[in-house]
This record gives sequence, C-alpha cells and structure tokens, in this order.
Amino acid sequence: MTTLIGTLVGFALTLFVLSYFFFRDWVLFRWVMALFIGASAGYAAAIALREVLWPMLLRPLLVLRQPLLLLPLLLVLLMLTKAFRGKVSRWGNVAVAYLVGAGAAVAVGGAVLGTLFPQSAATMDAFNFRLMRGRGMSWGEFVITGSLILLGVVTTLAYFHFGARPQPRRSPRRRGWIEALARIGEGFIAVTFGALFAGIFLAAAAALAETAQSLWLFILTLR
Amino acid sequence: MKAPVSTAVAIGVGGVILLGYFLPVPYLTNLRLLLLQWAVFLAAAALFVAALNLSQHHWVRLTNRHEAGTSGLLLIALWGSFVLGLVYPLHSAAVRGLFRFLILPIGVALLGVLTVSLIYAALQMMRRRPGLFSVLFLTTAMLILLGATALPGIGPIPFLSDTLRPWLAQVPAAAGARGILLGVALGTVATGLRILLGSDRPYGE
Amino acid sequence: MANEQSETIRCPMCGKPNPAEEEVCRHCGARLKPLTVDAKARPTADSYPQAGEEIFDLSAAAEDPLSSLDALLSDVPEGEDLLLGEIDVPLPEEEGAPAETDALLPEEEAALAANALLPEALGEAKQTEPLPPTEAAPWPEGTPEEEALAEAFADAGAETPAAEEAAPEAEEALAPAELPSWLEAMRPVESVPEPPEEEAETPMETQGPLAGLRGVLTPLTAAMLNPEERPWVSGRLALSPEHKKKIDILEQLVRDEFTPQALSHPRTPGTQRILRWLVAAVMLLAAFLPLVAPAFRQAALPGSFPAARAAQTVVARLPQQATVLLAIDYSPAFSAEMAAAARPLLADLQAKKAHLVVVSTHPLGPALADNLLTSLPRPYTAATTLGYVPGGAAGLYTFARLPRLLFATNAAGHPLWTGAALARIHTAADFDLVVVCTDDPEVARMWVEQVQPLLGQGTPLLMVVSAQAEPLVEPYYETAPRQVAGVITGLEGGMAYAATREMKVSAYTWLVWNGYSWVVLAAVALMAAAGLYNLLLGWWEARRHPRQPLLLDDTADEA
Repeated sequence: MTTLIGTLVGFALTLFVLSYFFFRDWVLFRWVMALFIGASAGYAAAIALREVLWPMLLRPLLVLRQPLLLLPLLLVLLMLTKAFRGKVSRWGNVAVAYLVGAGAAVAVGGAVLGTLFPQSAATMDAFNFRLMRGRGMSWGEFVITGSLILLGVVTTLAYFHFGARPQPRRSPRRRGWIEALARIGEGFIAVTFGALFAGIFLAAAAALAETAQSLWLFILTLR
Repeated sequence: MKAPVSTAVAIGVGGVILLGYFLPVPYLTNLRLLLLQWAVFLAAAALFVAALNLSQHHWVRLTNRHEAGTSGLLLIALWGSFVLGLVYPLHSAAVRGLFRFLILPIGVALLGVLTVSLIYAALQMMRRRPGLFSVLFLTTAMLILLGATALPGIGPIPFLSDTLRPWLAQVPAAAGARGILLGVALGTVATGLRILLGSDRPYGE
Repeated sequence: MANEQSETIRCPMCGKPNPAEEEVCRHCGARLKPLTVDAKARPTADSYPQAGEEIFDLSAAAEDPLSSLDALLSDVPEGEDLLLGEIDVPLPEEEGAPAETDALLPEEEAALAANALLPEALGEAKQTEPLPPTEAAPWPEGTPEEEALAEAFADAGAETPAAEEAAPEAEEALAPAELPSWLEAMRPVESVPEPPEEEAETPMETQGPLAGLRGVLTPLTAAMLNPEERPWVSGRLALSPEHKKKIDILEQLVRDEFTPQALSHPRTPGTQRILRWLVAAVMLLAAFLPLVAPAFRQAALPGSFPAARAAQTVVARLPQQATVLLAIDYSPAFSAEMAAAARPLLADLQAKKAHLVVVSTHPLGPALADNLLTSLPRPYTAATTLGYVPGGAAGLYTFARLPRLLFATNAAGHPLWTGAALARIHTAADFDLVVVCTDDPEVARMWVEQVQPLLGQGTPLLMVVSAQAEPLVEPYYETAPRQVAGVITGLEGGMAYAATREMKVSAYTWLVWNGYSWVVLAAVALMAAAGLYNLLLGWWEARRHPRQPLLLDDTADEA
C-alpha cells in the first residue's frame, strides 16, 4: 500500500514537472520545485551532521576525549555564526578563510600535478613516434592527428589570451598573429562546445526516456 | 591591512598544505593532513549553515506573505527531510522512499524537460547568429548525436558511428577540451596563488 | 626689487607673480581678488517673487518630498514664467545686521553678505555657521600672512572700494615660498602645522582629499541628530514650467523606486510559443512512441566505444574478490542515465565477487549509491558504504591519502575497516580499482587531479560519466600513460559495454534505450530542418538589415 501511494505521488510529481512544457513556470511547477529543493537541502544538512560532524568530530571529542579536536570545534562554531545576521557573522570569516586557504592550496597542487604537467606532456606527445607505433597508427594518421591536436591546444589557449596593445584612436587589439591563432582556436572551441551540447542533450534525452518509461509503467499498473 | 587574522589564517594554512606537496617531510605531511581534516569538518558545517540560511530566507518570505505557499512547502520539505535524515539510517525504508518517490522522479523529470529548451535554443541560434562558427557548432552536435544512437532497421550508421564520431571526440573536440582544461588549470593556479599571497580575500574584509 | 614685489600678487593657485591690478591670474586663470558684494547692487524686493508667485518650501519637502511636491505642484499656475528664485536661509539672529534691507530679513541679508565674501570653494561649507554680517569670510587661517589677508577681506565686507584697497596690502605680506593653506593641506596630515588654540576646536579632516583642512565638513552633533534641536532651515523656490517638468520626472523616478513592481514575464510571441509547444510535443511523442507502439521498437545497439572497450579490458584483468573503491558522485537528476551506464560494469564486478567500498563527495551520493546497488537484478550486498566526504578537493585529497583518518568509525561508533577486503586498505593506492561515477566534469577533474597521482600503476582509475561530462574527460583518457584507464559514457556507453561483453540487457533498459534513440533522432531531424530554415532566414535578414557595428569595433571608431 505504501509503495502504491509512493508511486502515485511520484507519478503526480512527474506530471507536474512535465507540465512545464506547456504552462511554463506555473504554481504547481513551483511547488514541486520547492519540494525538491527543500528535501534535498534538508537531507544534505542531516547527512553533514549525522555522517560527518558527529562521527568525525563530536563523538571523538565527547566520548573518546580527544582535546586536540577542541580547535576544529572552535572553528566549526565560528563557521556557524555565518547563519546569523549582523556583526556576529563576521566571526565566521576566520573559519571561511581557513576553508578557502586549504581549498586553494589543494587546488593549486592538484592543478599542477594532475592537469598542467600531464596534459602539457600529452600535447607534446602528439609527435611521439614510439607512441604512434604502440597505438598502431599509420604515418598519415599520425601526422594529421598530431598536428591537429597540437594546433587545437595552442590555438584554443591563444583564444583565451586577452593581452592587447592600445592603439591610437582605436580600441585595443591583440597582436596580429595571436588574433589569427585565436580565430583558428575559435573553430576548435566551436567543435568542443558542439560536443558538449550534444552530450548535455544526450543526458537529457536519457532522462526524458526514463521518465516516459516510468509513467507508462504506472499507467500499465493501473490497468 | 584589512582582516589581518583571516588573511594570516588563510595564508598560514594554505602555505603549509601547499608546501607538503613538494616537500616530503613526515612532520609536515602529518600536519597538513590534520589541517585538511579540519577543513573537512568546516565544509560540513558550511553545508549545515547553507541549509539554515535557506530556511531563514524562506521563513522571511513566509512571514512577509511573499509566495508564502511555495516557501511554506519548501520549509516543510526541508525540515521534514532533515529530521528524517537524522532519525533514520541510510538503508532504511523511509530514506529509500524519500529518494524513490520524491527526489528521484522530480530530478529526472526536470532534466528531461531540458530537452525542449536545448532544441529550442539550437533552433534560435541559427536564426540569431548565423555564421561559420554556429554552423560548425551545430554540425558537430548533430554528428555526435547521430553517432551516439542507432537508426531503426539500420543500427549504428556506418562510418559515422564507428569512425567519424570517435575521431571528432578524440581529435578536434579533445584538442579544444585540452586547451580549455589547461586554461582552467592555469586560472586555478593564478587564483589560488593570489589567495595564498593574500591579494585575493574572498572570505571577507 | 622690493618695489616690484609690492606691485605684484602671487597667485595662490600656481604661485606665479601677477600685476596687483589683475582680477585673475594670467597664468592659470585663478581668481586673485575675492568676490565682494556691492551693497548698492543688492537685489531689491522687486526682483524677488511677490505674493502669489510660486514658492517652494524646502523644509516641508525635507519631511516628505513626495507629498510636499504634490502639494506645491498642484498650485503652480500653468504657463507662468518665473525665472528668479530665492532660497531663504534663516540663521540664528546676529547682532549688527544692516538696517536698510527692506525686502530681506536682517539675518538673511547678513548671510548673503557673508556668503558673498567667502572664497567660492568654501562658501557652501560655511553658510550654516553663524557669522556676523560684517565679519571676515573664514579664509583658511594658519599663517600670519593669511590672517592679514583675511583681515583685509573682513574690512572689505562693508564697502567694495575699501576691499579693493585692502587687498594689495594683504597680498604684499604673502611670502613667495609659502604654500597656500589648501595646498599645504594636501601634505601628510602629520606635517600640517599645529593650529592656534581657538581653531583647534574645529575638527580636522584626517583622510581623503580634504585631509588637513579644518572645519570643511561639519561633524554630526547631537543637535543635528535630534530633529527637535536641529536649526530650522526653510527654502522657498520659484518654479518655472521648465522646472516643473524636471520635477515631475524626478518625482516619478523617486516614486518608482519605492513602488514594488511585479516581475514582468516577457511576452512570448505567438509563433514562438507554438514552436515551443511543437518541439515539446515531438519530444514527448518520440519518448512514448516505442512504449505505446511495439512496431517502433528496434533491436539495434549503439556503435563501438573505444574507451568503453578499454574499461572492459581493465575489469577483465581484475583479480577475483578484489576491493574496489566506488565513488557515486552524481546528482539525482542524472541517476537514470548514470545507473544505465554503471549497471553492466557493476554486473561484471559482481561476477568477480569484488567488494565495493562506497564513498561520495555529494551529500546525496550515499543514498543514490544505495538506490543503484539495490536496483541491480541481484542486489549488490558485498559493499561497505563509508559515506559522504565534504570539502571538495581538500576532502578528496585527505581521503585518498588516509581514508581511515576521515572514516574511523561509522555513525554508531562501530569500526569500519574490518574484514579481509578492508583490513589491507590504508591509502587509495591499496584498492585494486577505483571507479568514479559522475555527471560533473569538475568532479571528474577533481578525482584525476587529487586521487589519480596517488594511485600509481597498480590501481587503474575508471570513469563512468554522463554524456555531458565526456568531452572534458576525454583528454585525460588520451594521455600516455593514461590518467583515466577507461570511460563508459552515458546510456549508450553502458549499452556498448553490455554489447561488448554480450550481456543480457533488461527489458526495462531496452525500452529506455528505444525511447532515447527516438528522442535523439527527432531532435536531429528538428535541428536539421529548422536550423537550415533559420539559417537561410537569418542570412536573408542580415542582408536586408545590416547589423550596426559594435562600439569597440575598429570600423566604428574610424567612422
């Protein structure tokens, strides 16, 4: 019985969402959105408390008596001041600064070791003869593929180069050769964004097909 | 200098953690892992604060009678699922029901709605910005879409599915994506270093 | 030489000498002599609005600008041309006001006279201070020379000729090398000389361009904060129709600022709405078509995916009873696609009796993992859910380095790292395989950057990604050695994996695959037809109405 009611609720909610196709942002759609956001946020907050703060911080501190954890507890309390309005929330800036500093350091280290070095090396490998033989490529394929990858990476980076020279009585412009590279890079970016667009559509199509399937199954159940 | 304590904390914590990447000193490694563990606690607290702020915001809307119905429903869902998440364990029927009958159907249907918006946007783009790059964008998208499916009675389209689509994904699209990733990484390094040097203070003055 | 000096004036602005009779500096155009008011040239009563002419009371406006504007404007006779205006500033009564003023109140006249004597730049700042009618204008004091100059100007207050005579005497006393006081004020505040005692009570600005100047900005006093004690200021303004129009506009602007306005939803033209409905109808029809009409179901599978084949090879090499780290890092919206992509891989892992250790950097991830593992044909029971890792990259790095630091026990306090599969795990590199299921390219990048460098060659990293993340994950697959050992992309990736392994696909997944194929085909058909039509239409419109060049365009600059 509970399952049937749950399925019925799910069916109705799905229909309300699909009503966006024809009625746009109307009241039932907004209510469903509110339900979705509220339920997700509430459950996420519960998980933060139940699965992280209690077993990792509060329990070791209260049950196992680990005094070192008083420091992070203080930071957590400072962070909680951000939930209040007024001057008291400024106390939380220290905790936010801690989080930002830690996040920035980890992001810098990861970007250098995980993306900059390996991806630069992979670009330089575009003309790696040993790699070509290892992957069983022909000479023609090797030259064309290697050239295109190298050209694509360099010109895409050139597209994001925004250094410009001031010009008398004209708006600042990039140097001519960078401008030419950037135009080629724009083509590569168009292809990449086309692939991304197709990817997003494929994900959405899978979701629509799944939704249709679940609706149809429920209708079949009612028969 | 404004906010000297916050800036010192950000620089000190970030500096120790960043040094640990390049200096394999055991004491430093342990210290940075301890600092990172505390950052994890803070991130969880930040998530909790975010939910509280959302709740406050909608409470104000409710009391001001500005879309009170929507805000009231959101608050009921928020606090209801919060209590449910605290009381019931992950594998319980209540949590499974919350996801199976509420969160998943709405989420999946919302993504499904996106199909129409995407197609509509693609159609409008050709009208509003006709040009070489628009044609290139849309042609790539259509080739990849066609290559990712199978035609009724035919199956995967010969050449397109097994040669052209993989080539598009592995050569020009991957080259552009690699350029974007390198650009993002460079931007991350630049922004991260500005924070670690105290030039950027996104945690407030 | 001394004679020469006595006949020249040094400009207070540029410091260059000028003949004594000059009104303004020859070099910089600054005024050399103070403005004075000829008592005979004072405005007479006739030149002010008479009774019945338009009067605008500023004091009332200060209380409620909108209501007072309304009240006043309603009385303005249409078309009346009033050019002269008057602002009455009643100040505290002063002694010695001239008696010959018939149209003006004594204090009003005193204020006018005093203001007229002020140097232009300071006139407004000083007008609210009580000044004796014949007293000197508050020329900045400090040096004896300036005081002498101020005295001279004070003498000039009564009659213009006297002022003209007194000025050269005062200017004669100016030391050539001295900076004017206002310029001196631009020096650091610490270097400003100590003022006389009587002036020290006036507050000095310590910051900004006014640093070092005294009494320029009136500090807030209790009287100002208390409306009861605030000096009463009234203003009466004569209005012309021109003014009235401008006030109308201002009034409207102010009123609009305080009027809450409903969000306006842009009205979609009818054709566009119909087009949107048409697209929606086609999409829904395509999704339902294979469900309601079995004739439209097909048995075709997608083409081959090299990255999915590589993933299958990695799984095939995995030993029996391996320990696999499974990250469920997608949001609920993508659960259908991600489940379809991951199920064949999970079935393979299940066949190898692999023990799953589940973790997520998404707060809803553990619950979604539970949903995924229980939705398999045979629920995956050999799994340990560690839970949620907050903190993004920082949390992930900590987990990869030392999983036990974060997850020592579960919420109930029971130890997690027991049993043969988990006892040997101390870092992420101890897992036999790491599988990341995500819809977000940023999360995929985070795993590659923070975890993959720690894994080494012994622990491959596989990605099960949504189709939307695949283009940005592909570069990590195309490296040597591969940062990501294999990629399964979306629904078609899952189907391709199953086809490569010759697995049986459930009827449910098969129907979803059919609906998906029809939706994609319909989308391509719509995009091709309407895109071509719009392209032609766009070009046609572009030819008929050439677009205006942008401001930053060089051609525009040249034009």
